[in-house]
Amino acid sequence: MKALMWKELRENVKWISLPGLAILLVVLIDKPELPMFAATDTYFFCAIAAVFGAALGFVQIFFEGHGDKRSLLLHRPLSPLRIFLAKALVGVGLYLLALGIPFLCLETWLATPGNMPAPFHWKTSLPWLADILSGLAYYFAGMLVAQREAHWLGSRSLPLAAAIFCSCLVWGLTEFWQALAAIALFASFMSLAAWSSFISGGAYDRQPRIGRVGLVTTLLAGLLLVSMLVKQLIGVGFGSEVIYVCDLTRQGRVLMAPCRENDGKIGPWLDARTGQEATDINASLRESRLMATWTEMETPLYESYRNSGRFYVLCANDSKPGRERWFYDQEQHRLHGYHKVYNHFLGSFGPTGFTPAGEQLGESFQGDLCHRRTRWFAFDRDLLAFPRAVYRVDYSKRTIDLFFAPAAEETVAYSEWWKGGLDDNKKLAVISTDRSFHFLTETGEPVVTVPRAYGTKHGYVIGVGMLESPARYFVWYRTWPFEPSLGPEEYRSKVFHLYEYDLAGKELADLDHQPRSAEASYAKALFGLATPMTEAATLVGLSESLRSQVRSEGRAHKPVLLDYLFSIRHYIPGTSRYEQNPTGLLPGYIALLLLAAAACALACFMVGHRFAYSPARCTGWALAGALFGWVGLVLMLVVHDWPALIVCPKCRKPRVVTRDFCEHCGAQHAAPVADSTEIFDSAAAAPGVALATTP
Amino acid sequence: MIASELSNPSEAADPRTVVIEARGLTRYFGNKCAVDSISFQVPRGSVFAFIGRNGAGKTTTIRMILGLLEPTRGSARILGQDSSALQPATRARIGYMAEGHPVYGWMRVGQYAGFQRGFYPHWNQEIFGSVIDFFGIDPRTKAGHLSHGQRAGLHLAMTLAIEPEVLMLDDPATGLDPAARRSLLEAMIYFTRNRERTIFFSTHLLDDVERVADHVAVLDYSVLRVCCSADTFRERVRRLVARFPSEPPRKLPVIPGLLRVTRSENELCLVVANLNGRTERDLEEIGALTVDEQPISLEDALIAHVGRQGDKSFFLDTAGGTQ
Repeated sequence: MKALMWKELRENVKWISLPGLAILLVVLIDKPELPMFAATDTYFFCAIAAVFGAALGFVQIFFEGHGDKRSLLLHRPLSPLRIFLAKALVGVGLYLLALGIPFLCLETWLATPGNMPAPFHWKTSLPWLADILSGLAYYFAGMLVAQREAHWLGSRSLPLAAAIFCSCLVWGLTEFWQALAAIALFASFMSLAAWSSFISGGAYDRQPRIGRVGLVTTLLAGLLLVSMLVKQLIGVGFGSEVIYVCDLTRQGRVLMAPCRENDGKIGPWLDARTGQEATDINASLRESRLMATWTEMETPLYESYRNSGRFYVLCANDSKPGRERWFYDQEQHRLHGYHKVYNHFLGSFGPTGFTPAGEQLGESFQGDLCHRRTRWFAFDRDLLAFPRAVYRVDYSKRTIDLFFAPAAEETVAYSEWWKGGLDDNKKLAVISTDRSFHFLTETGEPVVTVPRAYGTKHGYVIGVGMLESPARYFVWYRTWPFEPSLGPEEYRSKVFHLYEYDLAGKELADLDHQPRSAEASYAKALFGLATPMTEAATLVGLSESLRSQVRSEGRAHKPVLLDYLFSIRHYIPGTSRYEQNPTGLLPGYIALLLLAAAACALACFMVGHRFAYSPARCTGWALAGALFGWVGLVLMLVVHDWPALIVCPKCRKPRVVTRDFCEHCGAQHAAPVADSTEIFDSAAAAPGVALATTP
Repeated sequence: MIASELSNPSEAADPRTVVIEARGLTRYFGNKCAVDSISFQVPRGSVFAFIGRNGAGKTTTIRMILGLLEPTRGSARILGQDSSALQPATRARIGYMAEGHPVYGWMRVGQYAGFQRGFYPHWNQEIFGSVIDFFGIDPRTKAGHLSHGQRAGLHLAMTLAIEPEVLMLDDPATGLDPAARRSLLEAMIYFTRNRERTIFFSTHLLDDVERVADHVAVLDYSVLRVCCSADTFRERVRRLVARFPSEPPRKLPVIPGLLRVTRSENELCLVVANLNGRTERDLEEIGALTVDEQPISLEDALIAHVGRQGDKSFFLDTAGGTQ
């Protein structure tokens, strides 16, 4: 085994520098400015790991996996398992070395003070580490692609789709350990599949049972990903889903307009109160001077180990010198500053003041910083809001002031600036608490406080601002069509509330209006023919489960996976929150789904029967057809080595060549036709065998 | 009766006398039958020539015997062990030269010795060195820079240095020049000086067979037609020359076992397997003045069998022929 490992090492070590060079190229082009790489960089790093892993696995097997080279390789006094292990151990080792060295170098460089104007947390390297480890799934996928006997554009590339599935999970799961578990799971069954395909030369039927399980699981994962992506593409491409968008004029008139999701075409605008077309409003309302300005308050935080907001939040305001960068450190609960050019540490803010670099850090802020996040990063903060206080920092003077302190029974939820826009230079700070919204001047003088009607748990997106003619404050509780934490029924049942308050904070009006929903097309039911029941049940069930988890946590957080699952609205009727299901759509969809499942189950059974599978095997595949629909049927077709069928000389029915006896009549195979030129020694000496006797 | 017609397989042959045994070995690639129900045994100590034209199924059979390719049906045993579950220790007793002599181009000849030695419990560096010298190979040369003949020499050196009990050679002489072929044959003869050693080699170069083989098997496009000792084969294949008063007739009667017909001005030359006396009478009935039996070399007999056309020669435009 050592000799083989040496050979593998010697053959493949030449590729080891390629990923490092590619990573260096990305770093040089993009010049990352933050210790946690931006999503675009990590996309590239993920792609580098995937391509290198798949290519290495492919190269190790393909050029030695067929014909005489394979024969020579396997005819070694080593078990096939040890031959595979020798290849895989060297391959995995080289892969980890090729990706691990750049990873360690770059992370060490980032961690060294003075190299990056930002704080470093070792956990910020976990996303890249997860991507590197997920490359192992690509490595085994590459091996499988190289040795499977299938068409290049057909099922041969399916293992790669399974590896992409693994990457999707690695990106979508909330915690690093969950991503590790997904990688371990995928790498396990894909390595089993690669091993068993290696020892069987790519054939399926003679693989060990555990290897077959691995191969079936790999191909199933790949097919399911293809199934979801193709349906999504069809749904997006041919669908004409309509979302009703809402807007608010500067005078407080709520407008709604249908917007086609695939091309963004808007109009006509309707008055939300009367339902009549607002003829005085043109379609380009968003660009017009008519629109009110508001600031949005807290929303559920995206939770992911890949989100930089878990570790730091960039902070800035008008007082910040251009050559400085300030980060709120989520672990140390302090605001750290760095020189942008020289990268050195400037000092740190705490609630009691500024601590220059080199001095003992003072007190930390109490509670978590109130902020908002996209999937992968946190929005910059101006005011530093914490549950018990809001601070304002003057970066150039190195001072920090208490901007707002809530009453004892109140807890701050968020803070943001509201600006009047257009010619109106008015600027107010809006601080939301669990009970009210506080409007303050730029210097922190209270202006007005209005009550809060709905808390975070109600799932509203809250817009706060001012209206004109007459001047008044408003709080608009509405829902957003793309907010994944709301279920379809929940979204449609939510009533929008526009509360208006006079300048003294007295409630003037509570204007309710119902969000509109377009009707889904009946054509969507056709997706039932192409959707396996397990896929539909899993996706819908998982979405519901994640939403219920979000609800149970008071809608403070939401997982990225829930966002990914939002795409199922394109092909599973009933999951879209902005579309009403017309009568009969859902039953029609389910009926077609069941019909397709039954047809696929029958097809699987018939195909199995035709190729003389045992009743148990036929039933097993029929069950796969029922559960996985066309995916089960295609899986059966791509996974098996379909034996040739020849006509039985006795019963004249087609019979498989793999069996000694006809599955219909029990006859043996016909002997090759003799032509009187046969010459055999002592045939009678050993019945059934031509014996070449020793002279 | 051909081997595949013999049914009722008995117990496995005694590995002390039979080194390789195939029973109903069949392999399909898609719908194409590459090897059709072949059965044979290779006695210990023999030099067994496995003959057939390109694409006849020789390499497929060898791979199935070595357990490198799963048969569609049937089974094979080598050194008393089922081919589908060959243990590493058994493999160590089998030397295998793959067709085309594939090499790792980057490896130097000297490194090859070290590489190969790492797998086998027994390694004779003296033999390796001798064969390398015999083929005029510099140990510092990269394998990718070797000529075809030298690559064969390198393979042979690696195969012989482990001193195997069975040597499986898949078309070892293909592409070699006459001198290299002669060297290869001498090496094979040298190898079998020990009567316990067996060589199974496939080839479509028939002059090699006569020099070294004591047993022959002919694979006729997936079907085994011949499996016997070289002497039996020589005895059972005959050449007849029929002289006619004028141009021989273009239409021939059905001649069982007819392998090949050539015609000259007033002669027909027939190569026939399993001659039974009736052929001479049939030829006389169509006007032959004399029918003489002529000696035929093993090579000519094999060429006739391997390249048989029956009476479908382009020299004749007749129906009928073999049955």
